[in-house]
Amino acid sequence: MIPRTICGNVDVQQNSSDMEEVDKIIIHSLRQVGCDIEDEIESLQQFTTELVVEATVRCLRVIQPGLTLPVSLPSSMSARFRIGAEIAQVCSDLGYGGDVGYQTFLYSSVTDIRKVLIFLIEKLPKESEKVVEVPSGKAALLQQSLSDLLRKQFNTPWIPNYCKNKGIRWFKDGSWSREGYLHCHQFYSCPLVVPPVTTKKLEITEKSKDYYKMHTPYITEQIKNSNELVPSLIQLNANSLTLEQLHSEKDSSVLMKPWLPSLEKTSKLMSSKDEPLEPYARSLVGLSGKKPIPRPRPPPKPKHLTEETPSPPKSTEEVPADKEKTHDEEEKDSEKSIENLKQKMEDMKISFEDLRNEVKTLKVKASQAMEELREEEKPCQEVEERLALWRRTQEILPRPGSDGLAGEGVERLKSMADGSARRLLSLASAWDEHRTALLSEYRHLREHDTNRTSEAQRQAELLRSLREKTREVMEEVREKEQIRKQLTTEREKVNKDVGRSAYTRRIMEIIGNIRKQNEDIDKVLKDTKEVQKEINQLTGRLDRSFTVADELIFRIQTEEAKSVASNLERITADLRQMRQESAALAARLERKS
Amino acid sequence: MEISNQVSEGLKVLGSPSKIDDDLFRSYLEAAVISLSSAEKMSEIKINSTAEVDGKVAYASLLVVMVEAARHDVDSTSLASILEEKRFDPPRLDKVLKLYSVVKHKLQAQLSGIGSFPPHVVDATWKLDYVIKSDNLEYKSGPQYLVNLLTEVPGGGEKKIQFACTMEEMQDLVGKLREAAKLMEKVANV
Amino acid sequence: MSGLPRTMQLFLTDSHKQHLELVSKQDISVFREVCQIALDFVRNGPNLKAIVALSQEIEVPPQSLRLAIEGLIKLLIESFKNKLSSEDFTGSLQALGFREEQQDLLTKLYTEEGKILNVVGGSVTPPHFHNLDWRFEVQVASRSLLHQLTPLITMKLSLKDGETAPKGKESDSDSGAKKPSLQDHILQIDPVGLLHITGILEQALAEGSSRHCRRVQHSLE
Repeated sequence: MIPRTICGNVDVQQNSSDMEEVDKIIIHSLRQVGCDIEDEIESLQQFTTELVVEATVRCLRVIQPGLTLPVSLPSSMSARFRIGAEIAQVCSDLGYGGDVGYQTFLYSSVTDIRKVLIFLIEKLPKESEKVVEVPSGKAALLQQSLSDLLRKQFNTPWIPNYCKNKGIRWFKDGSWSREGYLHCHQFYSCPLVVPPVTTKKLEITEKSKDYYKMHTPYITEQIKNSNELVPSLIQLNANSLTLEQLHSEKDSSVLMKPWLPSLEKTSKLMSSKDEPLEPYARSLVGLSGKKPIPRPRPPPKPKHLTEETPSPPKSTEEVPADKEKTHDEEEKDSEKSIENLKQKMEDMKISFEDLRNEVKTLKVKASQAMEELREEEKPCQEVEERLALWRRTQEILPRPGSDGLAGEGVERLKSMADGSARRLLSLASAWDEHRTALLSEYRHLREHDTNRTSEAQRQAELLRSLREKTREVMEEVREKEQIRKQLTTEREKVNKDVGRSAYTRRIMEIIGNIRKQNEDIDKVLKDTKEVQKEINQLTGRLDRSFTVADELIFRIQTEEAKSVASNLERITADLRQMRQESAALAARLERKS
Repeated sequence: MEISNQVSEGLKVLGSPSKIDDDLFRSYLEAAVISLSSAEKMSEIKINSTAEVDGKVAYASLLVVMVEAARHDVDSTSLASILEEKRFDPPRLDKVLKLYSVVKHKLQAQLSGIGSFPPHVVDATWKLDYVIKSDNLEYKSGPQYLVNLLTEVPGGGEKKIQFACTMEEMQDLVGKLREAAKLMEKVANV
Repeated sequence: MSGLPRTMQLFLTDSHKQHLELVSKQDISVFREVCQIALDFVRNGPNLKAIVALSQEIEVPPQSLRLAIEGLIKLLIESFKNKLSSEDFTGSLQALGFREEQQDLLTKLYTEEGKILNVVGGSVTPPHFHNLDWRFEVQVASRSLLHQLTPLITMKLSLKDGETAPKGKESDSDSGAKKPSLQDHILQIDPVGLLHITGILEQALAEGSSRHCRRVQHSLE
């Protein structure tokens, strides 16, 4: 019995030291994967929940590049559960056979975690595989598409530059690459005038509408140099975006403004290049000449404007023609007129301010007057009410023409009261009738209504969910499409090197062999363990037999020792006798000789 | 991709048949094809210029959204969802998407050529001379290459860069070029 | 080439010979000074003051002295261009009527200071290849196209200007008195173009060491 217990103790020790070994290997592998595990931590028992999650996620990321699980747990509980569940899902997707759920990671037991981590670490790609592994991530994707592009380019022959259409080489699949830069040009834009959209909120004045309708050219006609169209369009969008951001709080007011790039910008543009001047000049002259100031309200004294700059709209067309000759003069003139206009505008602003103030004070006065009026009317109403009451009492009271007896008056009052009481009763009964009917109808209708609302709500809910689903499905379709594309390209690539399948086959064979060998090793291990067990049993048996044998031998020895002593005495006696005999014989021999 | 409110408003106008009739819509599409894919023919575009004010906004918005979509490399489904938001009339939406598919690549090619670029080498020619005597004392007698690099200067036509080099210098030059070419072939075969 | 010593190996115009006569007439001390001025001329450009001073000393018009000095320089340059050995050079000097002392002095000048002339010579020739730096870059975005992938090779081609630098430093006269003025060209090329011009220039290189070329070269040496 004793040896057996000793044997068991040894077993347990060996087990725990094994586990320590395993933990060390696991921690080593985790550090290689990129986990930040402190040096003090030597076994999985010391792992915190955060560390467990980090370790698992890092492993999963290496196994499945492109996984978007976070390495650290968020603080909110529900998010933690979600992440735990996701990790568990990924693990079981990878083929983890054991029981796994969010509790495995969030409320971890060491044995479960160990199992999971061992599984994951086995799944980690080996060094040799890493080389073959298709790199992922944005940089790698970029590299991949770059090499694809270069390959595509290298597969095409060189073409002399004069054979290319504007320096662009078109591939069969519709893509292109730029090989010539003769037709390239800088980002020159010119300001474009686009009328504002008329909405309910925003009404443009008839005159500016006229201007936009009759005199604003289409944007493609505002461009002088065809190279400037695209930059101008980009600039247009950028400008109006910036403008909207600046005025985002007064959104509606922006909508009222026409599309014009800010003045500073245009002047800068004009100084660098003079082609874009024409549309600008046109719009300027248009401003002064036709007063199409795109505001919802016309300026208070529009006459000033038209009087000051009496250039007829037709002249706008002539301006660009003789622009070059009288360029400077015109510039000066326009500057002067701008100055004038500015001055006028300032004046007008001031008078406008004044008028507005006046209007304000008048409004205040008007409201005060209204208040007074109301005050005056109040006593008047009171008097009228009193008057009506008096009239009615006068009717009831005895008329001056009759006997003048109070009794008659009382009688009449009584009969009137009776009559009204009766009428009241009949009215009440009639009301009751109506009421019940109406009430029931009302109830019925209400029920109906609630039914309908709930129906409507249900429908709306359904609609919403359907919409959601559509969006999801769309998204899914898009994703699937993308995946399909990726897979097709991959497949094409795979098709190219035939050796790959052979290699895979060989790898598969090797894996099969290894699996077989693993099984063999397992078998041998099992055998060894059995033999070990047997040996342990036999050692016990041997120990026991040894003691028995020892005792036996001792017993036998003591018995034998006694007999030997007597034998020895006998033998010694015999010896002594023989010696005597031999001595006698020797003496006889001497005597004879 | 970001488009301003004004463009959005213009797109709403463009997408509603009640504001822009079908004929005008078609003429806008035609004009857009020309102005976006072959800008040099832009002067041939004829649109009824006394159209309603809304038409001018709608046309501008159409051009802006095409350019921005190409600039951001938006795919047609995303463009469709953007237009759907603007309550686009479905048949019109299809037409605009078709326009986009026609114009997109050309437009992107055009966009790629906007900017500042150094002269671009497009071709090379050479001549091998044997210098026997030279009034220029610098040149030793022996083989001498005369290399012409033909370059395209953006907006400035073609320009030749001519230089001479000896055998050794030519080896140096070719070695460096070969190194660059090798690198690129390596990158291509990653 | 030394079969005909003491004969003229150069073809000079009569006016050139005339100009030189003025120098050969001078005695040795003046002649030495003339040589000094000529040398200075080659290194640092004309020094009119020295010429005027000397012309007053020997009582000749400064213009003639200047022509004479320039003629002397021209003589040296021509001799170099024709690769005259020092004996041939001396022979030519003799044929031009220089006295023995003068011949010695000029020959010394020719053999010792000739290197300067060797480098300084200038004419209208294309610039010379000096260096090529390159880098491979991929343009991924620009203002007008936000998503793109444009592989390009940007090169800096440095060319040495063939023009004479008029004021070379004396100190680097050993390594070549001229300080080469470099002009850099920043160029770009697309991958296909790069392969193309590499191919073309490789072909040029191969042609340069072909048998045909070597035969031509051999026959010319």
